[in-house]
Amino acid sequence: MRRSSRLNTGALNALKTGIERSIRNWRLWIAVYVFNLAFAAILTLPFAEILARDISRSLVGRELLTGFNYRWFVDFVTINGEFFRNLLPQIIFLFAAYLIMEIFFAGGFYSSSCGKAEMKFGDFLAKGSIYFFPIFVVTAIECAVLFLLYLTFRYQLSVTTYQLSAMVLFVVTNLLSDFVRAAVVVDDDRFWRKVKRGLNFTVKHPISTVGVYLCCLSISSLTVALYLAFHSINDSTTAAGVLAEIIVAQIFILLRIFSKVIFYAGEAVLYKENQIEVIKVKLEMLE
Amino acid sequence: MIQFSGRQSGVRFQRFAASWYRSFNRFVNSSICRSIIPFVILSFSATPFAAFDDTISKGFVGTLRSIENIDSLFQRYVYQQEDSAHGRVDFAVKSISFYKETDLGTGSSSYFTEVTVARTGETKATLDLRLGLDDGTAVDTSWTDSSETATGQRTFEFKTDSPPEYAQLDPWNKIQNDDDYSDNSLTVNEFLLPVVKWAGRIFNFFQNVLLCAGALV
Repeated sequence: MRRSSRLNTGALNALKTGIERSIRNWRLWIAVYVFNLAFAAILTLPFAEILARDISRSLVGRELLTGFNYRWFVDFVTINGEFFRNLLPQIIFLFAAYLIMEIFFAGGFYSSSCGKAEMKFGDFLAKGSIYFFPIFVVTAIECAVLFLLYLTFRYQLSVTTYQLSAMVLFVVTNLLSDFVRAAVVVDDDRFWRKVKRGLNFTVKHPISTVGVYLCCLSISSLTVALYLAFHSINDSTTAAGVLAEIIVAQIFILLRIFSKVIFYAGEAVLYKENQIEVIKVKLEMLE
Repeated sequence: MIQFSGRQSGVRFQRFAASWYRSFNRFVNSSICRSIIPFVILSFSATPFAAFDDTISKGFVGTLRSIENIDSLFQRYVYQQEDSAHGRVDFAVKSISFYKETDLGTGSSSYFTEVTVARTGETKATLDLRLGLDDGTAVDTSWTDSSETATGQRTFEFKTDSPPEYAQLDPWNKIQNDDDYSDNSLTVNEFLLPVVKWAGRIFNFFQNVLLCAGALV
């Protein structure tokens, strides 16, 4: 029993393998980037049009180049109130559609991290559709748990305690459901047994699972810090500065998507490698 | 068994696809869906694509251009007059042009800002205009159209001793005077850089928020 509880692959090894496999499957995360780009473009186009109409011929444009003008913003929102009201349902619809796409992609990414060879895009979509429903159920449960936690803590604690507790509980719930999602894709059994196994795995090996989670979180935090540092030194009042801001923002988004894919891959590799080891040990014991 | 065999995955995929197709078919044929879908498609397609056409037709290139379609340029001021102290839409500003008159005898020049408006109502109307001068001061002027009957176009002018840098019709919209007075054509400076900058930031904001929404998965 002691042997079965020790991990064959640690967090760092899993993450290393995950990064290798994510780089090998670079076409897949570029596809996710294209989807993100397309959704954001559909959301932004009406804003670009209304901004062009509002500030392109006004001297307030000069002020907006150097900073933000709150008085103009209030005026802008008041004048275009109807536009914002009409746009809200579309924004909600697009966000829901994007979330559904993310659930679809998650199955593909977990599957692509299991094999050593590069996954074809067709296989990626097929795996995404196979695991769509199980991952959807896990995500729905996660959202329900988060909502219940929100209702529970909303009126009981002070603001600071609430914020801290909410953050910790969000991380724990997200961590548990991440490994359950990995288990749902990597393992082969009935759905609820896979869920149970995923939960057991996370609880029994907290150092490795939290290790993968925190490593990925620190990669994301590092990219955010670098992006903010660039923002503070970049002069966005010139055409070159604006262009640099747009290019760096896209690199930042690509890195964020990459760190998310590493997240999937690290979790899937950690779970898969160690589950194989556990089964081997059990078989040895049976023999 | 840890991994799926190819055959097993294929069978499961077929079952999954068939069940989803059945559910989707039921959903599409339901009475609620049939009443909602046309509305969703219409509202979803109208705004972004109309905006896209408009953006393309305007062209996002160039910083200085003559405005030919004056009607659409000043359309906004019809709305803004509604917010003014006068309380109603009485006219639309059609054009603003700047010109200079020089007295050949004394050599002194006067600068004129000519505003053409179209009356849309029968009531008396007053237009407030602020002219910013090159010495940093501003002159507030107003003009009342006393004619009570006819609708149609009116032109009136404001005289200043120094060239106006801009004409301002509301707190935030100033028409900058880029005229070098070599002719009387109206030129308006288009500030495209702030539009690109803020549209880029909104775009990046949506990209980030979408990623955050996806972080739940």
